[in-house]
Amino acid sequence: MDKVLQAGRLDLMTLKSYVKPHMLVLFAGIAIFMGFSVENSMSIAFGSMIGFLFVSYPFALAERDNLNTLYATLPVSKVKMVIGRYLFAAVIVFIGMASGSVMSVFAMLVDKKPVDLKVIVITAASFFVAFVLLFCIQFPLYYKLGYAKGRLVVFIPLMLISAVGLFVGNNIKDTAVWTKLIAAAQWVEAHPQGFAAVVFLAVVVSVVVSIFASVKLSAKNEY
Amino acid sequence: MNQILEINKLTKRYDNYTLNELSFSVPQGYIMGFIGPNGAGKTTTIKSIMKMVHPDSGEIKVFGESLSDSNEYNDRIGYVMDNPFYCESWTVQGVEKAVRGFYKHWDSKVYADYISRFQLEPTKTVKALSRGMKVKLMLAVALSHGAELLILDEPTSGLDPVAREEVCDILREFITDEKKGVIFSTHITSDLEKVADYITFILNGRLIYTGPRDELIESYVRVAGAQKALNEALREKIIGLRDHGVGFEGLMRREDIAMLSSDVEAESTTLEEIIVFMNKGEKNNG
Repeated sequence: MDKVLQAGRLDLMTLKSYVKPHMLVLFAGIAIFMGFSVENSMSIAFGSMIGFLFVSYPFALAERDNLNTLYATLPVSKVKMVIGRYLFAAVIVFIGMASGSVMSVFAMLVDKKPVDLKVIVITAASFFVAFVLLFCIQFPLYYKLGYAKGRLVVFIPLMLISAVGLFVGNNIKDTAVWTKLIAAAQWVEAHPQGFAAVVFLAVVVSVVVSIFASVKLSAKNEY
Repeated sequence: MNQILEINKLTKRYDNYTLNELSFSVPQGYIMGFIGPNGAGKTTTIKSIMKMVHPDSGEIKVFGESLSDSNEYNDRIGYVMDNPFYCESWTVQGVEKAVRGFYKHWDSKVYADYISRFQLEPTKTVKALSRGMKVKLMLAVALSHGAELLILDEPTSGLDPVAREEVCDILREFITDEKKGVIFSTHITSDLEKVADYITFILNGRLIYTGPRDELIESYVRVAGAQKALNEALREKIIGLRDHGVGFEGLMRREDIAMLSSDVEAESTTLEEIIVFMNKGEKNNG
């Protein structure tokens, strides 16, 4: 576990050297502005998104600064290095989401709107889960192809999912599938804890599968 | 004699080049110079040891054990190459912060001593360091976690003679502990003539020689003479023959010098000449 934490910390140090305080102030300002001008919860979305944008930095810098060689010289297994990167990414998305939530509360207070913590927590958790699932899709591709090639294809799975979603959405109304989806939505409404457990399980499975894929896909990489 | 590194029939095939069944070992307490011209397979061999490339066949053992997925043995290996592998925006201090947690025996005092000895400014970023300073930074890291095997891939290329001498001094100090070993790949054979006990010489992916340095140098002589002395029998024995109108020169096995006539000069050779003439010999033979 210690080596996993060290691997995550190494990625954090890689990122830290490129993230300057004025950038964070700028992002905080934009998050607050969006919270005021669009919708208070937009601050959470923006914060989570910024966190998500930073999670691919270690891949980019590994290529630029020859860090894959550094990783190869360290007394830590590839699996632990990969798990460390996922841990780093989850922490960064969480920090972005948490910061966005704080900005959102700030925007609500200034706007003199009631602060509904339940809504904030659900919104924040939704964005966190969404971005964790996103990097679970992207990381194996980055590990396989590297950042330069990978960034061109990491959005293909997302576009495919969106396209399939749109197609299905437009074609299943008044079908048996539609009826089942309505029933599922009603179940979610009636059993929020059960739904949370299902989502949690889905995230855990996605992370484990993604880590496994990242290790397997990068096993043949040469530097 | 215990071997700190053993390579047995290491093979790696690329489209236009093959590292072919390379075998050699590095004994504890000695420095192994690893030589060969560009493209001979030195870096492929070293990267195979570091698991940065995956051999097609063969076995590599470090500290008597085969390479494993845990990479735990890297705790006992210090690696230095010609290009740095740290984030360019890290400071010299930051490099220590980034890597020390991975090593069981990291010694911050030793690191600080090397930083001071190498006159590296702790607050300077990797990007701002000169090439020589970057090599010294990698050496400082390699020597601060109790490494027993140093793997050096062209660390002195591009360094001035003073800095190269300093690196050689460090290697001499390192090897005073007889449990340690060094594999030192370099083009600058004069460095190896100062510090290497053993030499492994590869050419076009094949092992040409592995053994004591002096034995290699003493096995060959450099021959030169007038054109008229170059008969067919001599031509066959000369490695890397350089025929230049009025005369010729080349390399020859010492055991063959009895056949030389009095108008052909034979003199001691150097590692550099051995590489150059052997390489030319390969090219002459097509």
